[in-house]
Amino acid sequence: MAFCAIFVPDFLLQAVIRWEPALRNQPLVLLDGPAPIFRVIAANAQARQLGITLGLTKAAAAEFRGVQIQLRNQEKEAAAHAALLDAAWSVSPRVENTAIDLVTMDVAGLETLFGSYEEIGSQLQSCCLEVGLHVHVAFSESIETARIAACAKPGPTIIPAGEEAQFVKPLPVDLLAPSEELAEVLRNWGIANCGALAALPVLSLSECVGQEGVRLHAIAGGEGNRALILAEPTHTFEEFMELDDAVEELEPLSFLLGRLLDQLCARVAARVLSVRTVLLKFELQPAFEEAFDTTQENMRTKQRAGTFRCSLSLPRPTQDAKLLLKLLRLRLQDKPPNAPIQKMWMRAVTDRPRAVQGGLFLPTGPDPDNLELTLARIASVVGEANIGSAEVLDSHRPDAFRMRKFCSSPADSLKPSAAIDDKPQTESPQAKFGFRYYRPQLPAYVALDQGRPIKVSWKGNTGKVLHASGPWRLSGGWWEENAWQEDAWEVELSFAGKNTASSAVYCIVFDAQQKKWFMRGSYD
Amino acid sequence: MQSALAMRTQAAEACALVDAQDSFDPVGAQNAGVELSRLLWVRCQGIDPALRSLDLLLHGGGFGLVALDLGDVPAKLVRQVQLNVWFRMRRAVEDTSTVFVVLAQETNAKSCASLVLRVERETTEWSLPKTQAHAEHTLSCLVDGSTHSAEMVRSFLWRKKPLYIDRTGSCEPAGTAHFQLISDKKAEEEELLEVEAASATEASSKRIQSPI
Repeated sequence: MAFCAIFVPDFLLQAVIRWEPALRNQPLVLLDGPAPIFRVIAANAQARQLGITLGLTKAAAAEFRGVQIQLRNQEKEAAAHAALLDAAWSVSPRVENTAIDLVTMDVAGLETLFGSYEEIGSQLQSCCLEVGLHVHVAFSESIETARIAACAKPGPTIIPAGEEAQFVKPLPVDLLAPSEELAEVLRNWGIANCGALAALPVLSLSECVGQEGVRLHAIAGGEGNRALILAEPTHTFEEFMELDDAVEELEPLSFLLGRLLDQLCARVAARVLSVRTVLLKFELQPAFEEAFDTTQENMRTKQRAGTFRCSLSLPRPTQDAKLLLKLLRLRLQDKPPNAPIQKMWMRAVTDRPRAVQGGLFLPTGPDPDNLELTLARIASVVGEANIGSAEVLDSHRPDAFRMRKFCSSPADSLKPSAAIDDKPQTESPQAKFGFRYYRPQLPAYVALDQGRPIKVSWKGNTGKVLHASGPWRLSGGWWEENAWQEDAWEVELSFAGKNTASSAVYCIVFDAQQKKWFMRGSYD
Repeated sequence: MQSALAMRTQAAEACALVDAQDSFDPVGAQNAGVELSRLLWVRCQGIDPALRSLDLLLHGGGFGLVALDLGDVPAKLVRQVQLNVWFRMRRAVEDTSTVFVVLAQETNAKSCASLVLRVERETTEWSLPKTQAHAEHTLSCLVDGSTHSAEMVRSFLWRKKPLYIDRTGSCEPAGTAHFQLISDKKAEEEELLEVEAASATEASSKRIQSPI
């Protein structure tokens, strides 16, 4: 049985730096506490070099030149912790959520799958780096030893079996995370490292400091082993970003969306999943006029900011963050939020990656990712409702169809239509009339003689009826509100030109509901 | 165009139709054999969005057939499309397996087109003879069909003796072919007659085989 621990040093800072990588090389402090008495709760190495210590007030920290001061954000920390868990689940399903900055997992038997522990450690570190976290990794036969080693050294640290006590011996006793009372006692006794603690007689230690001392004594001796408390894998991938200055334009917004998508896709890919749907929620900055409710007596009552929601569904799940960004940009270009954006939440609904076996003799279709992008671009030109594949409705009403999303799935291509199977390929289908609809139907004036049309005028055209066939009476929907009834005529009209005469076949209808004639279309 | 779409979609290829005036008849197309699920229909309201959509589609690639229907667009508007647009379209489908078909009232692509066909309707078939043109029609005698002629105006394959599109099988020496389009009703009647004839033949053969 072997265990691996992943520790994120300066977790609070890394949760912030994850979204603003530029802060990594700058002095950064985090503040927390009841407003307005904010105090420094975390500072990076550059800030500590300047002399900033924990517990300083915001005003004192601001005295240092060049220091970036940020407030603690628990939503960012939750997202970073979820990313850490996803990175761990990418290697092993047996993961314990030990602390917000630490996960422990069982890696026994994974050598055959991923290689040696060094390779597993490198893979874990690179996976964490993709989701924006620098981590320490350690392997040991003992859970607690792995945890202590991960907290102590960047690694990957591999502690051979039986050498746990030897490894832990020089490490400071603070790494064992004793309670404040016990830490004070150990400090008074002059116990500084784990070796000194392990050398104490356990019986006397138990009498002096109780069971906690016995537990820490065992860990300091490299014997602290216990069962893992397994975390349930979640399929919720959510990222959050709060902006200092509200963003109004699409161009800077797309940079931020790109960051969110990169993180989400890295997390999803680590779990060997793909993104099926992206749900986006913006918290909008209220406009100046809307910021104050003028209807109330208290004129300075600030209203709640509005929210903007947007979703993007893909027929084929993908892990391509760039593709998702392009699609989201097109979507926001069509329906932009009506106010500057202050906060962003992005959630990914995942699905299993789709793997389809291709075939040499199958017709090639459009690349699904490329097709999705093309469809989105065309939709921005003609409108989303005007692109797709038609689906004929089960109705007697002429021109009864609805549009649905076009999806050229390879699975369909694998099953050529039944018509092809039944009929030989050389036999072409019988050619049939083509009909051209006028959408919407054009109002027409029809001259009648004994109930039959003899002349039709519409939209500046007038034709004399050569042949007329009808009426073909159709009705339906009488059980609903939108009942319809019409008499259809098919007419061949002749048009007298200056030099030549031409003729064409049209379909005209008399709408019994509106008591009007309409030109429905023409035969091709 | 419907026949071409039917052939291609039945061969499990993805096809696209850019409909410049939103005049496509999906019900009729389905009856003509078009697999609507494999046909991407772009409904435009004018020539400009149609050409922009077409440009995106052709450059996206992967379609077996892309059709641009400018049949209802006035010829003078289509004439205003610059020749470099057609050249760009041609370049986009060159060296690909995509077939690009433009349906318009007159030829505009000039030398960009590999094949130019002129199709004209010659006669319309009604169930009553032409001499009784104004006679009373009944419900069962809506349009039966029409006869069309197709003339090959220009083709890069002239020297290779191209196949004619004549559906009746009669080849003519010139680059003109005649074919007939029929209505759904007529097609159903013909199918019914074929089935009846087949069943009658089967019955007679059984009668011959059975001992008297």
